Order: sequence, then structure tokens, then C-alpha cells
Amino acid sequence: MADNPTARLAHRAAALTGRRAAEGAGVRSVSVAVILETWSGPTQVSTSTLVSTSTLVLSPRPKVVSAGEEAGYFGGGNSAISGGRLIAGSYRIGPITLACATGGYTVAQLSPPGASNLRIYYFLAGDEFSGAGERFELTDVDSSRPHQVTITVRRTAQ
Amino acid sequence: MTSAFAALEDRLYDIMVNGRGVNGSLGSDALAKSIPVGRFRAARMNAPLRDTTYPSVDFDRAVFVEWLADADDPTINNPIDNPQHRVARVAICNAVTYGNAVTDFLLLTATEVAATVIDQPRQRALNDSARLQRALGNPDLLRGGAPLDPAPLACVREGGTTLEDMGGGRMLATTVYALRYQMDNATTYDP
Repeated sequence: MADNPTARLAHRAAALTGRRAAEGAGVRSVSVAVILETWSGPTQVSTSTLVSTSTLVLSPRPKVVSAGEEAGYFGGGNSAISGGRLIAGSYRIGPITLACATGGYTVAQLSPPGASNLRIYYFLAGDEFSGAGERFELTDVDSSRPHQVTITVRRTAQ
Repeated sequence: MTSAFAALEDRLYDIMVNGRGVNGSLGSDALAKSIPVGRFRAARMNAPLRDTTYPSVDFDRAVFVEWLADADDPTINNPIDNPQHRVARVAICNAVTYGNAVTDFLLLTATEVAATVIDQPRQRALNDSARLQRALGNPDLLRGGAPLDPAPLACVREGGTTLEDMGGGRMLATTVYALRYQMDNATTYDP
């Protein structure tokens, strides 16, 4: 039996329809954006400057669930939710439909390859996150399923 | 006014990451020991490099000034003397990334080859430490130019440089220095 990419793409399209319906029902309260900053040289070098920023806002909004936390310098939270400790929370984002004719995303779009002059972060905004939103960095990508990808992120420098 | 340690820390970072002395204005010896901009980078948001959440893209060749202690020098100062002489212990941490999957995250010199140096973290970290020590120990780089208050007098390595493999492709070299400096007794150094 050979692989059947046509069936796989059809299933992705069906899954995408379902995820759009979930967003339409108002149950996806967190917006997720993949943001890629391009610097003139290696990041954090004193002469490097920000050249450009590209933003990919995921649509439909994926499910976002808490995936634990750890203490860390780049943690956040306020006195009401963390007792003043620096808590770097992790979140699982997905399932996100893999690319098909009607939408979805490739793994490369969701986790762009790194480089010394790139800062890639994930901007999560919603009731769970303070201010206009918070920045996160990628810690895991799971694209082992045929129709979907799930990414895990952890709070990073804001 | 600024805190005494802020001024001293700025000087240390100027030497390590901002190219202090590379234009030759502090003399030929300072020029020989100076570190060009781009060789090292300051720790992101002054974050400790041991923090497991420190971003990978900013880790290789990051340096961090870690103040450890402060004391009178050489013995207890008469509190009405001016200036007051003190010695701070400060650890300079310099980081190296290694491992086959991280070539995209290296801060390389013009002659370094990523595929080669990813397998040489220990010699790379120690070589970087030596470079930093030569620069920080150079009196012209430390003291030259416009007077600083408090005035750094000498930055001398105490003991050796130690390596610490943090796992996950991160290595840290730590060197402790005795930083002698003098304070103006009439100044508050209120931050």
C-alpha cells in the first residue's frame, strides 16, 4: 500500500474547518503570533540594530493550554498570580493544522530556522497574559501527527 | 550621581563588549590588548548565564559581570580619609555554545569555522577567558581616558579560570578578579 497524500490533505482541510468553527464559537481566547526579528548583525552585539520585523498571526486561533512552569530570570507574573516570584510559564499551542489547500501552516512557518542575527519569539495575548501580551520562546515542536502540529513555548525576555 | 558599582560595571563592559581602546586613543599597549566590538556580547538584560531559560541565540560568547564581594583595601579604611580604597571581588563569566546542532547560534570571529569550533568548547572558552583577562588587566584600558568616579585602579585575576559544562550544549568559564578602586569620601554614590 502506497502513501495517500491526497487523503491526508483532505483530512487536514476537514480539521481546519472544525478549528475555524471553534474560533467562531468564541472558545479560542488567546491570539498567537510568530514574530521574527532580523538584526543587522549577531543579536545582543552592541552595534547590531533591528532591521526588520515580520509577524505571522495564526489563524484560526489555536488552542493554548498551560504546560507547567519553572523559575527563571525571564519569568513574569505579578504579586497576585505568582507571589512576586519570577515564573517562566510554558504553554502548549495546538493542534495547529498543517498546510493544505484551504490554509494551515508548514512546520517551517511555525518554527523558522534560527540564525545568529535572528530573534524568533511567540507573542501570546489574552486573559492569561499580562499587558498587551507576553513573549515566549520555542522549546518543542511535535509534528509527528499527519494533520497537525503542536508547539510548546516558554516565557522569555520581554 | 550613580552607584559606585554601576560606574565600575560600565567600565568592565566597555572593555569587554564596546571596543574600549580599539581606536588607539589609550596607547599602543591598550590597543594590543583591546577587544573589538562583536567579539563578545553582554548578557541579555543582565541575566545570569547559568539561568536555564537564557535564550540560546544570545548565549555564545556572552559575558556577565557577577559581583561577589566588597571590602576595604588593604585594611580597614579610616572613615575620614579621602580617598577611600576598596577591593571588590568580581567573577567574569564567559559563555560558549557547542554541539553539532547549534552552528546557527555561534558568534564567530572572521577566521573561525562553525563546524570546527562546535567541537572545541573547552579550548574556545579558555582562550576567550585569557583574552578577557589580558584586556581587563591592562591598566590603560581600565584607567585611561577621562577620569572615572569611583576610579578603578587594577583588575587582577585571583586564582585560575574554571570551566563548567552546564549540559545542553552550554559551557561557562568563570574567572574571579580583585578589582581595586578608590572612592571619593565626599560623594554619596547614591543611585
